Amino acid sequence: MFLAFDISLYTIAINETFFMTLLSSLVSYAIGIPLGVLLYCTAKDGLTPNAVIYNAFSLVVNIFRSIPFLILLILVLPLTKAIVGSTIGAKAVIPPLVISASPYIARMVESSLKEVDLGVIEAAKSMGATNMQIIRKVLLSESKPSLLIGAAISITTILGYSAMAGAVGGGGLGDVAIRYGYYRYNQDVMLVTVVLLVLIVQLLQEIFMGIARKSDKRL
Amino acid sequence: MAIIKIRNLKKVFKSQTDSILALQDINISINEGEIFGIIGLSGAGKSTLVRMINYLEKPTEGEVYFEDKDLSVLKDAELRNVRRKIGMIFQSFNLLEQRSVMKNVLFPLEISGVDNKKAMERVKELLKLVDLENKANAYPSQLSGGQKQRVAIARALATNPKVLLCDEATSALDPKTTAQILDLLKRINRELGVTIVIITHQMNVIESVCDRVAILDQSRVVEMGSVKEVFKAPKSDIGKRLIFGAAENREEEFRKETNKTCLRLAFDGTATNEPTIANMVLETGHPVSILYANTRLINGNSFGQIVIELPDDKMVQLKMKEFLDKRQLTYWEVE
Repeated sequence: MFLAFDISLYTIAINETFFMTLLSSLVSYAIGIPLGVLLYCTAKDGLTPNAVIYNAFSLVVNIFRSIPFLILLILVLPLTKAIVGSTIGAKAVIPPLVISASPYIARMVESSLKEVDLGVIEAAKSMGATNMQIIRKVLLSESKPSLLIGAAISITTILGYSAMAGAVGGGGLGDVAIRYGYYRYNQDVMLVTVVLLVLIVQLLQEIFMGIARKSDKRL
Repeated sequence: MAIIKIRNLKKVFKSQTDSILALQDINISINEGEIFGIIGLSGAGKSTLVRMINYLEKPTEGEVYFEDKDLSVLKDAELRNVRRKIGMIFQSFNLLEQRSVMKNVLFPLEISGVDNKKAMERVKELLKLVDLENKANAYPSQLSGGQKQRVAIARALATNPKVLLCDEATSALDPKTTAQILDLLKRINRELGVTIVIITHQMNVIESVCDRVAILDQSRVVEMGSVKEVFKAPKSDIGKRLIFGAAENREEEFRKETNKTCLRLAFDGTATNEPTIANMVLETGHPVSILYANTRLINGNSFGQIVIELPDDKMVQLKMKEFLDKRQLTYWEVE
């Protein structure tokens, strides 16, 4: 009973959750954006259609997306050990989170880019733009609002996944919920963590949607 | 001198199951400084044709020359340079929605690496040309269709192109705005000497700005010549349909309605101001019925078409034709 109101228990957990979520989002986007662009460009109506490359990457992306996160977490333990030197703690959750989120983000990016009007791309070509210029100055900038909405969805999904890290002693709010709430039958701790998670998701969602709305010049 | 030459062009679109012939036997030379129109119904291949002029679409066979350079042998970088000399505007404007008007016009200068200060000066010049200086910081979504097209024109002219391709550029605009855009294109042609190629399905667009026209039908050029000639006496069926317009003005419709001899008179603005038909009736003493008339006065000259039904008497018919011959009017019998 007393434990449920021990603030320090949650502040550390919140910090860990933010750390896991933001760092893995950052790394996942660093991988997901180029991968999404590659998928877009090599697709049938893309800038440089290439069925072989598209199908190969598409298959890899789909395979990783179909593995449940909890299973992936365990599957990549050796890799996690090799990268961060440990298989427990908040840091150890980042490699599986990145492996799981990057393909997901790649698909989100691909679908955002597909929203860009092909006519605008054609206009850029008619002005003598290179493919690189089209990617940077047309595709990515024109789809910015859509990419930001995608980010809101991706980051909150990563946050949700990070809560599962508790299963391997990964730290964060999920860890608290499992250790105190589930293993020790402390309903109050469970309730508080759930409320905190809901609030954080709301906050992140609102921030990103706000930026997306503000950046969109289409009214 | 021909700035664009299209030789024996053919385009086939292949899908996995079948192939569609979009264009064949296309031979067109577009002269420097003229406004050249390409007209046809939708599906005639106009848009494909215009996209081969700047190689957005590659021909299946045949060549496209820009300033005597065969585009098919150019490397990518050379082709991009050619494209900077050929501006293009579109039916749906294709502006960058997330960029302001100013940044849209800046775009082609930005990608061709023009120094920022010089580029901004050029942008100001262009916005003045299209009369949108006060909209520099607006976004496309805040503009009307006509304003959007003017931004697109400014953008297309940023790199000082020699040719401006217009793909159904006025098709999404109302008649008044269409007239304004056409006036602007005319001015650009006259004042800047930019050769303009206009793709449209609207006859009035060709009529009001083009010097020469090619009529496209079922993947071929079926008729080509000066707008004056083609309008006066279109030879192809599709030309007649496009120029004479509505169904009630088609020759076969007149044939159905009456088995009498009918004449179609074409006014090309050279006829005098006299009331031709009335005088002809007075002089011959025989009335005629007017089956169709669509003429308008442009700068005091009449342009258009009148279809009249002649009396049965062959002598009267001859007299009437003589009357018309004397006035050097163009006419022919509706067959």
